[in-house]
Amino acid sequence: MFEFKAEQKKFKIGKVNVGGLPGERPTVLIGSIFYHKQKIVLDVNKGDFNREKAEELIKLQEEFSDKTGNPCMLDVIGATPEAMRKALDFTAGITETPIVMDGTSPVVRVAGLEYVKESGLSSRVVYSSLTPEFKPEEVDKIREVGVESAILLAYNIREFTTEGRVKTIKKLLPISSDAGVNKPLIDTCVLDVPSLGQACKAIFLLKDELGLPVGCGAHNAIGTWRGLKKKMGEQTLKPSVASSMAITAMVGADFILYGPIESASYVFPAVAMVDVAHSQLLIEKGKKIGAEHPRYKVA
Amino acid sequence: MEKEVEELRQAVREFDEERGRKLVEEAVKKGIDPLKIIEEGLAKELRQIGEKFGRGEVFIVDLIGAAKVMETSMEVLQPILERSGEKPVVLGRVLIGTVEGDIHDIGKNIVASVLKASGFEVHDLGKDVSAQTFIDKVREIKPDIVGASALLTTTMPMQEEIIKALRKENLRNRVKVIVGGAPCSLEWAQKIGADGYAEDAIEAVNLLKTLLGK
Repeated sequence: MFEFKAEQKKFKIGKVNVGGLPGERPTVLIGSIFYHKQKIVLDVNKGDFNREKAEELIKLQEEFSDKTGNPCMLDVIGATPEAMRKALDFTAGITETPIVMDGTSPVVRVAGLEYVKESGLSSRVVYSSLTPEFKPEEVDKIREVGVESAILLAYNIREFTTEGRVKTIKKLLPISSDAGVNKPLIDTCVLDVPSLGQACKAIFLLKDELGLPVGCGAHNAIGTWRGLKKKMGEQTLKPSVASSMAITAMVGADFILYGPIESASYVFPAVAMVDVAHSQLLIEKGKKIGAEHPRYKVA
Repeated sequence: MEKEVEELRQAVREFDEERGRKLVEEAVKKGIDPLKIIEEGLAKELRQIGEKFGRGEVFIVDLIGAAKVMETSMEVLQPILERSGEKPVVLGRVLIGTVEGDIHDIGKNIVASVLKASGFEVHDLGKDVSAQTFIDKVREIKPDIVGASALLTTTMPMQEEIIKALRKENLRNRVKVIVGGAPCSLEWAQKIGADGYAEDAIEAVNLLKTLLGK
């Protein structure tokens, strides 16, 4: 179904492979933890949280990752340097899952990088994220710490189009490369339901032209859809989240930031379903699919 | 003139920048007053889309797209207005920015666009703006209103810092200060000594009009 002009690059981050051909590789799913207003967060500034519940949620994601064959990463959010360090320290201690270090401001992200350096975590950390408005100290710190992977966010409000996303990434790539990021993951930027369409098209265009792993935060489409619950009822929320993930996987996303980690139980099966459907197209062409692919796990 | 204005409003509704610019150029050639083009055409439609966004009837992208048509069209109109010395009726001068340490600017950009469309002169300082920059710009621009946006609980205190800095520099009584952003509230605004809080762009327009007695 998908034929790309560019050779598809595959990166290994920690124990997880990301990138390649839809159908051949399973989609990597990234759940967020310690986000604003998450029930387990006790003090967002101090970084206090219910450790037992946090561990349960991380294990929930891993359980569904094992069941479906979709690799996972953890989007670890920190609102202050103190919170970021605590969150990284906790997650690194209880899971081997790659960590997307998601500081809410450059100061927090730089503090997170300090922790990554001290703890020797750089090979399984993804810096989140580099945007066109990056701070020079972020790039300097990434280079100093030796973090090789970063999410490049195609956010450009001045040109909020599909083509604008492609242009933004082309501008960011040399900057990230200069910082030593040789495993860039491209996020095509979803703000709402219409922009999910732009983000999905940009996924295809960027994979086609650059061959790099591309994905997006599809959950934002549902999170900002004010009419959904109001006009159609509470029961529409979960199916809509699952659908947004499925269509993003359908257009070939290599990874998806699926939002609150609590959604793992219905997001993983939805995406695994698409991966299985894609895989059959390659099998028809005589391609062998790995035993760990959802194709051979979810039947 | 009505036909031209309606076509222009349609271009805003359809987020068609190219058509918007072309229609504006044609309208100017026909001798239609640039202020009418703005007030009856571009701004009126953008205001309506802003109101729809406030009611949850359209998406963020719709507002971004409509604002872009207005911005592109203003590139044609601005030099003409400057040459003629004509100025749109301005309800007030607003200095707006996202506070220091905070790089989230989508909401602030939407508020700025809707304020412009509603007849305010808006000076957008961008994001990650220090209290000192706000102070310097208050001195330079002499706004009626300062709008400080914060999207993080960790950057909300910077809104208070701006108010403190305005007091320290004896500028507080010269401007009204409003705050906004997801974690903010009316209680927060009152606690830090702001003059008001707006939950969205349309509320911001109404709040500013009230504060300025318009």
